[in-house]
Formats: sequence, structure tokens, C-alpha cells
Amino acid sequence: MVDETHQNSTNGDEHLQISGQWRLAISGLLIVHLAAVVLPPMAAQTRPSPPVIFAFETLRWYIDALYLDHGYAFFAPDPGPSNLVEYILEFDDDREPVIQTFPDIDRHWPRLLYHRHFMLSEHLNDAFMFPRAPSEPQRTSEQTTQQYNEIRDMWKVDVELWEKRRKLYEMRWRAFEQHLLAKYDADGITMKRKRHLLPQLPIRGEINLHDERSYQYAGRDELFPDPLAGVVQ
Amino acid sequence: MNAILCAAQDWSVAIVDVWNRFWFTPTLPHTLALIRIFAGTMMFYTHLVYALDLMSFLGPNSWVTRDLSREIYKTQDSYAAWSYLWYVESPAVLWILHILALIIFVFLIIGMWSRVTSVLACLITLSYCHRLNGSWFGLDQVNAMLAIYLVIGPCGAAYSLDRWLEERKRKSQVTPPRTVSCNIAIRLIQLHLCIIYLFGGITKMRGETWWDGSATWFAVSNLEYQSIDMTWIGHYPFLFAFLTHVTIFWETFYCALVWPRLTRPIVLIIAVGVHGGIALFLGMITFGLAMLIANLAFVSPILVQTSISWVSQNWKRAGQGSERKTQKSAKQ
Repeated sequence: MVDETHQNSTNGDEHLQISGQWRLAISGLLIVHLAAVVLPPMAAQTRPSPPVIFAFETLRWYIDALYLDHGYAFFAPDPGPSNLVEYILEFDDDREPVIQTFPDIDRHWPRLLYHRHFMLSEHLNDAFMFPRAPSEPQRTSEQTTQQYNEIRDMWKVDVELWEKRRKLYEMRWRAFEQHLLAKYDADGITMKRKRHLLPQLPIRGEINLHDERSYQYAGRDELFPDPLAGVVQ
Repeated sequence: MNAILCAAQDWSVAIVDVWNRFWFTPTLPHTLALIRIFAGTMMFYTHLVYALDLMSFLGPNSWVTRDLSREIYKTQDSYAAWSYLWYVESPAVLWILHILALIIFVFLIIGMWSRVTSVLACLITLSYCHRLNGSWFGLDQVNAMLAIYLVIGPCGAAYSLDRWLEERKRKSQVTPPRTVSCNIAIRLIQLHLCIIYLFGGITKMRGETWWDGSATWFAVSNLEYQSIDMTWIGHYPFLFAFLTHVTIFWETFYCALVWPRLTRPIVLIIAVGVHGGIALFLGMITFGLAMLIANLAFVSPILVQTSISWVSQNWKRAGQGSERKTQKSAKQ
């Protein structure tokens, strides 16, 4: 990998103005830094390998401090439906209930502010965790004690992970509710997740992206009916 | 055996030489300075937009509260992520800190005390990213990346108030020196960008729509992303499939094709097309522009210097021309 266009130096030996020891030390730091850049997207793939996990955990403090933990999966693996949040605010006084959605292109301007709200609803949906913990595995007659114990150990890890994620999801949900209640000085709130499905191919006739049938709704602890189904136009 | 050893020795010497040339060849600061101006402007704008609803993002009843923000990192066993905004809840103090942050970004743009302001801008950018971990997206990743690398190189050595003040002090124009630190900063932006594109491409390859060509359709038909209606493209499967394939090939092979002199312009022109498209049609103007700013790292400092000199000379000429016209018309 030789970059020919960026070498503006006329003298090939100019790099010698830095002593060999310094070059060695800086080279070491550069390798560590580049490893910290490349490891997070490697770890973000389906199931990271043991050496990737080991290296990632070793450099975790550096990766976190410099905000390098990203998978760089833009519109990947496939562009998916949008996830929004719809809410109804109720008031104890004479005010009419307010029904709104975020993000809302009419209320959130400029575009970056709209996109921040879009990301809030997307992150909430990403954090979704089913309310019931993974069920305990039952021992079958074919399994040895050792096999069963291994499966049970894996189940315990899954339960621990579920507990953490479920707690975060509930915290996030509550924070959103609290925010909206405080912002509108409301007394009650009903919030639901809203999914906007994509029009499936092939296109037949008019394309109407506002079609009511392309929206699905789910409560805090509900799954969407069919997350991958789209609306045939 | 001796011949094999000699060949191995030659090879390792060549590797060390290429490594040294790649990282430690001093470079002019003009490209990095231009990135400073654009990236600083993007950081300023990003944080200015927060100011429109600051308390909703940072206040006591924010979307993502301080406790939640910290709990997210705790759950992931991330203890090194840090934000000074975790320790502040008072709206008055938050506003003061936010205004100070905006001032720092202005200083970075104009190149005032660049060495200090670049460090502060980096600290501020990372702190906001860590605090607002429920509303981030690609823009924040690119902002943080550029903020980090601006700290490494002398980003205020050209096109800056620092430079102007130094020239005024010396009463002569001084050519900014080539430095190794500038080269390292630029190289890191280049390599970081290659890694972003490579994994962007690899992850897309795991999907089906990037293979059957329908990904572009699903991206443009997403109402919430859409800023200009491009759904007419749905009637032209050949066209959207072609655009899908160009995107994934370009993204995956960017890391190889951006280096040779012959292919670099093509790769950068496609980058303008792809990111320009994201900016115009998918409503992410800021993200599209931020990626293009990062791509500037592949433009040579000589070209930046020549282009800016040409623009400023023409600007001056145009200014003088209009001045003469005004004088003439005043005389008449």
C-alpha cells in the first residue's frame, strides 16, 4: 500500500529527522490505535472469534475513552423499516389529550434535530427486550450430566444478559415517559412503538408511503406482528 | 539457504522503509488545516442544533437521563467512557458549558490558539458523544474521529488566525513547515476512513438486498429518511440495482482503490456521488458532508494550497474589478 500522491516531500530521507527510538515508539502507538479502530467492527459481526474478543477486551478502555466502539453498519446488513414512537398525553385539567409521534418532520427542525429524535426512537426499538427471561432448559433422557450442566451454564449467562438488557430497556422507556410528562406538564401518558414498513417489490401501480396499512404498533412489552413483512403496493 | 536469508533481509528492510515513508515523511499542513475549518464548522453546527432544545437532551428530565447514560456504559462494562456532562444537572451551568463549547468550536474554525482549542474541541466532542448515547448516529462518529486526529497534527499551521498573527509579528509571509505530526494525522484519517468503508461494505454483504440490487430502493422508499421523493426509481429496477451494486463495490474496495494515483480520482468522485446522494435524498445532509470532509484527507496539500490560492486571487481580482467599476460610476 504505497500512496503516491500524498508524498510531497522531495527528500526520501526526511523521515530520519525523527530518531529511530521515537519512530519505534510512535509506530507501536499507531499499531495499538489502528487495532482499536479495527476491533470494534470485527467484534460487531455475528459472533466474534476468541482472539477478537481477547484483543477487544484488552483495548476496551482505550476504545471506550476515544468513542471508537462502532460497527459502521450503515444501512446494513439490509435497509430496514423505520421505528417511531407514538404517545398520548392526558391532562387532569380541561386540556384535550395530545397525540403525537416522534420523530415528526413538522415539529422537529432543522433536519439534524429531526434526525436526533429519529435516532431516539430507533435506539429504543434496538434496546427492546422481551419481558420474560429465557426459560430454564429441561434435561432430556439422552443428555449426560456434563452436557446438561454445560447447557445450564450457557442459560445462566443468557439470563444474566437478559436481566441487564431488560433493565436498560425499562429505564429507557421510563426516561422517555418522564421526559414527555415533564415537557408537556401532563398527568398521564400512553406510549407505543410504531413501525413503518417498507413498500415491497415489485412495484405495482401508485406508491403511497403514507398508507395506514404500512404502520404496525406494539406496546412496551409486545413484539411487532411480523417484523420483516412489508406492504405490497 | 544464504540466498533465502538475503531475500528475507532485503524484504524486511524494504518493509521498514515503506513503513517509515508512509508514516514519517513530513507533509505540508494545508489539507489538515482545511479539514480543521470544515470539521470545526460541522462540530459547531452539530452542537448549535442541540442548543435549540438543550434541556431535552442534557437537562434533568432529558430523553436519556444522566443515570441512564451511565448505566448503559456500566451494563456494557465500559468504564473508560467519560463525559463532564455526567456531573452537571443545573440548567444554568449546562447553558454556560454549552455556550463555552460553541465558542471553542468557533476558535477552532478560525484557528485561534489551535493547539489548545483542538484538544478542548476533542474533549467536548467526546463528552457530548458519551453523554448523548441515545441519539447518536454516523455524524457523531465522524465528528469524534476528526476531532481526535486534529489534536495530533498542527491543524492551525495554515489558514488560521495563529498563522496570520505570526506573519504579522514577523512582518513577512512564512511558509508553513512540513511536519511528521501532520502526516501522521492525515494518515490516521485516511486509514480510519478505509476501515469505516471496508466494514460498511462487509456488513452489507451479509444482507440479501445488496446482492439482489433492491437495497437502494429500500433506502429511498423509507419515508422517515427521505428528504426528496425518489420513489419513481421503483419503476426502474435496472437503475436502482445498478446503483446498489456500484455502492457496495465502491465501499468495499475503497480501501484498496483510493491509494493508487490512477484510481483515486474515480474513488473520490464516487464518494461525492454517494455521500451527496445521502445528503440530498436521505435527509442526512450533515452526515453526508462530514464523510466528504473526512475524504479531503486524500487530497494532496499542494492541490489544496494551489486551489485556495487560485480562489483567493480570483476573489481579490473580482473585488478590485467591482471597486474600479464603483469608482468609475461615481466619477460619471
